[in-house]
Amino acid sequence: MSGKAYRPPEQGKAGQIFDSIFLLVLVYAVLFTPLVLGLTGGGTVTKTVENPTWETLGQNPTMAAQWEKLGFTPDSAAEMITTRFDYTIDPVALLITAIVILGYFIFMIRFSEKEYREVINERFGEKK
Amino acid sequence: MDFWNIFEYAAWGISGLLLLWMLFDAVQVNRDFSEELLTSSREGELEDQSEKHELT
Amino acid sequence: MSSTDTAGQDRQRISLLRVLGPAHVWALGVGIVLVGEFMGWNFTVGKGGAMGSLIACWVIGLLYTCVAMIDSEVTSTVAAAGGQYAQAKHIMGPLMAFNVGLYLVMAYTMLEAADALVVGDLLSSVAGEMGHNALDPRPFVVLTIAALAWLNYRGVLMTLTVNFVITAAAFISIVVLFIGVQPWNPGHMLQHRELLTDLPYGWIGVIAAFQFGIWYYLGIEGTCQAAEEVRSPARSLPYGTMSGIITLLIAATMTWYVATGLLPWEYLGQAATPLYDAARVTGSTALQVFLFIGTTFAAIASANGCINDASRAWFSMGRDRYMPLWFGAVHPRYRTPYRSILFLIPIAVSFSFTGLLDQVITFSILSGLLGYTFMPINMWMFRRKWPLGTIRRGYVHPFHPLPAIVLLALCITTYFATFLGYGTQLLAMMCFYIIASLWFTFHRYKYVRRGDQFTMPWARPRGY
Repeated sequence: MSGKAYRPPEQGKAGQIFDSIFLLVLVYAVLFTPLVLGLTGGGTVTKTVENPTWETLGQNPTMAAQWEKLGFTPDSAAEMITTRFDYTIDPVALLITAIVILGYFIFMIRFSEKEYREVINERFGEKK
Repeated sequence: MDFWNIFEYAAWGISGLLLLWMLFDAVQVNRDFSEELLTSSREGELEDQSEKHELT
Repeated sequence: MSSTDTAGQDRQRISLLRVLGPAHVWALGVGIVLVGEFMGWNFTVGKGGAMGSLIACWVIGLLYTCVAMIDSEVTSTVAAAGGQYAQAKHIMGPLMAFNVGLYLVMAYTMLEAADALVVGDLLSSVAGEMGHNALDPRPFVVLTIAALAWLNYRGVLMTLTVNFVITAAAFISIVVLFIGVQPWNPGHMLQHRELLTDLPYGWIGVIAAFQFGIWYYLGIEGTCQAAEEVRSPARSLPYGTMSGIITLLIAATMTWYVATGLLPWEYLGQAATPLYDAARVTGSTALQVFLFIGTTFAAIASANGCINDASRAWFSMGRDRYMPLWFGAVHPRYRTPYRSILFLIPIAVSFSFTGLLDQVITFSILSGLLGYTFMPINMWMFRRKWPLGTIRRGYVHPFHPLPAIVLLALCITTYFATFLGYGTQLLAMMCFYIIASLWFTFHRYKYVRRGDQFTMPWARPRGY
């Protein structure tokens, strides 16, 4: 073991509480808020069908029978059936997302590597 | 007020009791034991006892 | 107080209890995942149609086979509570380990929230059928989480023994449903010929379905969280994981077959409790009751395992001061990481209350996916820093680096799949991890002892 090991400061009660609260706030601000505000979620489009029947909704008799067993009528099932995901790709958004994910991994691997060398040097002693 | 309403209140009640029990127990443990003892577990320990990593 | 590390050797210590056998490992792994057959997997149908869902099930099955191979090798060598977190710490470095620990906590806590949400939803739909409209699901959400947290608080052996029983019961309910719909008699109950359609979105829909394809298996790698409580980790963990994957492949195939033969895909793609609904349209009350019990049990078993795993990961980070040290405490009587268990309860409850099943699941999936992206990189470094023969490995997986390459390619595809339809959420999740990483690097890491993080009795890594 190396003689000049890094001595970290002890964290007091207040600091520990502050850090715990920070993490909670981070979870709620970044993940929970967009969820409740409805900013996230399935990018879908819904087509409206006037006076829907099973036929106009494109359901064959077997499908219609199963819908009815589930307790649906053409009216109540119409929205479920006509809602479709929108898979048109916005190249700018795709590029931004790719850069964010890639950048995140590169940043993380590089910093980990730097910190890892310190850990190894302290654990096994400085390399001769 | 039918069966299901009673069910709802019962669920609130029981969850409240369980949560309170855990909080109460945690506070008690904090009081009765030193922080040093509570946070004394170490990651490497089991390795020393049960796993051998030398090259055989 | 705790700066006296070397002097601490003869001091009184408490640690987690080493009491679990292979059956518990199976119950922890499969218990967490099996709920995926009762809810969540069907969103693949919504994104890519019924046939797209089957393709996703198989392709993602391949992803998990790679995960199991890679994970078995590393876990059988690094056996410590915290699982992949401890692996990252020894192989890649602190910041990566911090992120992996957070992935585990978030993936399991969100999964736990989804489980509780399903219990609440199921009860209100049963109440609705019995003539009581608008049952409030929230008390049952809280009750599920509180009761399971309590069980976890009281000890790991009881927790996982309960899990073994309810997981087995849930698995049996899938088998009963499969037999009950008479698969040898197509057209009688199962109507695949009439219900299966072409791919509604074409092949891009199949790719998009990969996102929720993860849900068929997510959490199976959680078995290594129990490493400090299993009696012989090097043997039990790979064995429990492999038998778990086989159980899941069987269950997933049966589930797909039954559900797509009974429900129109548009319904299936949005249902909260698809297997229960499938039992409902068979018209058999017995099957319906069976699947009600199965769904509830599966959700409870999963939430139970999630509390176990998430709290172990959080606890390990506390112990290393990646998180406030306060969380690294073990209960002196029950020997559980009791403070971590308590801390995560409000997060699970509040995400459950949103009622947005597909989105809560997406958070869980993304955290899982980031964890799988870490695995191949980790594997490369592991083989490079400690080539075969330099340390004793419990298990060596064949064909390296092929599994790592396949895994990385499938992960990238799945990010793209999530981008299709859930792009905002993907970015929100990345923001979360980026901010957390900055916080760790520039604030939190100063409290961490450098050399103490490396606890394995290994040789110095090659090249350092």
